[in-house]
Amino acid sequence: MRGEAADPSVQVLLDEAYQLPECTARNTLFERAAVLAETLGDLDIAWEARCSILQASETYHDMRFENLFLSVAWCLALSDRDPERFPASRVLWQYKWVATTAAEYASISADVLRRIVDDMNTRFLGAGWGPRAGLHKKLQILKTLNRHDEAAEGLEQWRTTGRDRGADCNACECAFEVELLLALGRDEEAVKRAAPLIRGRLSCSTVPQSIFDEIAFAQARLGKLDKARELFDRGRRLIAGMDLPDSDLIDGYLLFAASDGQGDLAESLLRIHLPRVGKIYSDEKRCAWFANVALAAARLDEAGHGSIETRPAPGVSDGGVISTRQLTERCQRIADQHAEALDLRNGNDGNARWIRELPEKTRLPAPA
Amino acid sequence: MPERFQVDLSGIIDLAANHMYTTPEVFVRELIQNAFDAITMRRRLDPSHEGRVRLELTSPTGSDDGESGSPVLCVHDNGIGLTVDEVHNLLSTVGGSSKREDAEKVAERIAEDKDSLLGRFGIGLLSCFMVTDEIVVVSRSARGNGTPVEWRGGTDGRYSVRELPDSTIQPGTSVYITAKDDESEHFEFETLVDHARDYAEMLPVRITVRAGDAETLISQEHVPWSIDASDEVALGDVCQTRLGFKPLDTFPIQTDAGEIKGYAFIRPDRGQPWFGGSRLYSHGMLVDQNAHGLLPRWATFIGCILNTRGLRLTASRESVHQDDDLRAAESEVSTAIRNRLARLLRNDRNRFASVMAVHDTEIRGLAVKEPEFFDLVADFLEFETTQGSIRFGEYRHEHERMLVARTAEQYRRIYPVAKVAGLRVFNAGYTYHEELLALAAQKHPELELVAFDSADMTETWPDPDAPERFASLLGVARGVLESRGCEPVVRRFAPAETPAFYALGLDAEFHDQLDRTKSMASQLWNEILDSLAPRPETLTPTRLCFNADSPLVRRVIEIEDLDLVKTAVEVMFVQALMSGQHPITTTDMALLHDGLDRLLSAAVVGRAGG
Repeated sequence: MRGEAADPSVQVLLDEAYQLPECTARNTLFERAAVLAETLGDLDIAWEARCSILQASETYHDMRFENLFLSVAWCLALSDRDPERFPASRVLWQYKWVATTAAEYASISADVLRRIVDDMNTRFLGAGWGPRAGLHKKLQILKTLNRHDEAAEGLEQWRTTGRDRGADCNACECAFEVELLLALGRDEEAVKRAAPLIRGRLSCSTVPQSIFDEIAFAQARLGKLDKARELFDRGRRLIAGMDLPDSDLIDGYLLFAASDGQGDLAESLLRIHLPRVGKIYSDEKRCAWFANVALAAARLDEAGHGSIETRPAPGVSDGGVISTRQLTERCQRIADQHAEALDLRNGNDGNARWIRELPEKTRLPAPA
Repeated sequence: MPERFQVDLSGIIDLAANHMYTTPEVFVRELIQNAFDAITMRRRLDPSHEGRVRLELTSPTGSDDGESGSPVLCVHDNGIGLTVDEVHNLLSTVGGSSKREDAEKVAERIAEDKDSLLGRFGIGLLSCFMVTDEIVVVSRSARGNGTPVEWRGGTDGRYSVRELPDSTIQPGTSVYITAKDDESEHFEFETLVDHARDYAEMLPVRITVRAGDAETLISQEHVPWSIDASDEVALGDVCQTRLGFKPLDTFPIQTDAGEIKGYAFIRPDRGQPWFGGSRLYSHGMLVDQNAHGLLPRWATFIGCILNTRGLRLTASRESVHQDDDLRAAESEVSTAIRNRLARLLRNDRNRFASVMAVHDTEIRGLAVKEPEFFDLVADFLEFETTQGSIRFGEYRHEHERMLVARTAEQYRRIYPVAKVAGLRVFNAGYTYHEELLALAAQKHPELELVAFDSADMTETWPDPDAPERFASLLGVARGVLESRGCEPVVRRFAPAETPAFYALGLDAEFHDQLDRTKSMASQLWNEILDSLAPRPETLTPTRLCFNADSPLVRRVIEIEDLDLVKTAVEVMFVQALMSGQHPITTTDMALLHDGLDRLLSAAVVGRAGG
């Protein structure tokens, strides 16, 4: 329950922010209210404002990540000082997002990531939320670090740990397990595990559209192209129907379309999403996005789509007509840069290898 | 040996009657719906049959003391009617329905018969138990020489059936319900007319409500979705009557998914009703007064009246299933709204401007979401600047650079000085403005977008003519401001009445926050924040910029008493913070009060001395 700010100017900012739709201006107002309230010594209202920023991040994905991290750090620090007044449980859910996102940046060392998981786990247990989220996060980070064997070893422990208050929703957990199995090369098992997602029994705001592209490729590798196409179609329609379509979800679908002889569709997806690349921030997401798009552009080129017309896309195109060959080169260069940075952090060549193996893993039978 | 589930019949009846519907008045809809379905089935026997539904209220004299008894409602239809066997099989079997078939058959029939039946589940009649304790049905089948039959059912699950000797009863069905003691409000004539009209006025059958001599026709001659799109007056009236507002614009909606037809209306105000903003009908029967799931979330400025022939209804028939058909239909509705706005923009600028004047935020939100719509609307978008509002299209044709204050706060700080200096700075602090300006710059790379803050503002000002005259002032100011990480400088700027301007760069502001957070946070979080947002080698310096053209500053540099100069600097510093609407701490306020006290004392002493 939020109280009233002692200073009317802070209250005006908060009231205005609560009335706005999700947008940058709304978060700026919350930030401003937080800073002003803190300056005036009204920590309760500053806490509310910071928590509101974090809450908004669950549905509005276009925030400046450094501001979000700052808010999490500020809230946790305040909670450590006075946990009764500022309960950590208000921000623990966002801590999971922080841990996942931090791992996507090459500038965060593996040691810091390990300590983040420990810290998160300690806080979750302290709040009585149980160990499942900590175990899940550990596996996620091991996967991001390309230490897949270690992740596979921990999978059983996570599976057999009961669900608790801190656990992700069933759909997200299922999607992660499928992702991990795919990363381990266990396609058949992954597809089997994905059954509740495919049948529509499990879904949430991000699942299954975040995973159908990968399962589609797995189905294709298993020789079930019809099923692959069905998943591809369902997934891309779900993304298209989203209020604010996440461009960072589209790359796999784009590659599928280009690989499946659906060149016109791939071009249309490129035209829509390429100008939004500036909104894809982390090294990991950019590595995957640009690698998939580079390969998609190469396949378009092979299929005779020599060029496409696009609006300006930061780092890739100034707008206008660009040849698919140029697009391939530019995107590949960006993907390689991020892969190199991540591999340096991870101490292995997982990302470079993933890029090398991508053409083979995503090759579909030639259309009849 | 497999066992069968046991069913508590009265529990099931209670569940269907009292817990499935959101409001008791739906019994009116269920009764009319059954009547309509019966007529539809009779039309299959005789396509020329003219169906009628009559709702009749009576208040029989009841008790010996002369007070009238509980009101009774009879819903009569001249539909297909029921045989004795059908009464046993259908009315007396919860979940049994003459209208339910397997999914494949339903799909086939919907495809070939647009007058398909509304009911499916065989539970609608039970909704009457919300307002009555007993349901009496008198029916005679139109198939062959049907014998009239009476069925009586109660909330305990018991029923009785008897054949009636009365051969004058015509084919059709009459349902009688007597109001429970505390439910008689639903049996008042006006209320009944309202409910019947709400739910059933669009059904293609004659429906009347009668009480004594009063009789009201419920059915509409023309349903909204059959009105010609060019008849704006009729459509405006429909919107006014059904949705309660006079629309700014009206346009047709037609979808393949869900076979939806109807009209969308743009609201004349920003108030979005929490209920009743739209009406979704299924085969003419009202289903949902919000068209939930059919209108995209961003389309808060739209109300609609739509009729579906293809969307699947839930058991309570108060909403439609959230399935692939609904999602596909929503997508088509979204496209129709976007296309309409685009069309207005191309062909009817005045009307688009009137829509934009009311729904600016929503239209901007749509432009942020939809690149193609953004392309259409970008030049038309108006932005606030320090030199007045300007359309993006107007600006981009004449400029190569766009200065943008990213937050409303930075804009407010800059505004007075930029305005006087003739510098145009855009305010990106409003809802979606920052996103739109970024998109605009992306679309027009020839136009450079430059983030502009109060620190940048000071860079546009020239140095004073004789800087050495301000050396003493700057020396004192350095001493005052050092602990605040603020560097004093002297520049010339307008207005001359402003003695000092506090300039804080966005990067410095962010790192200031970051430093404060790090000072509270654990070692781990310090490392995380350092990794993600490392401190740059140089940050934009925070400055107190004295105005060399200010008469006040010119007087201060003439003062020989350095203590007095220090006091003047302190006061000008806090004054600059206040002018820029920077947060003022209690220390700042104390500084201001002490400074004013000293200045006033000095003035009084000076005057007394003089």
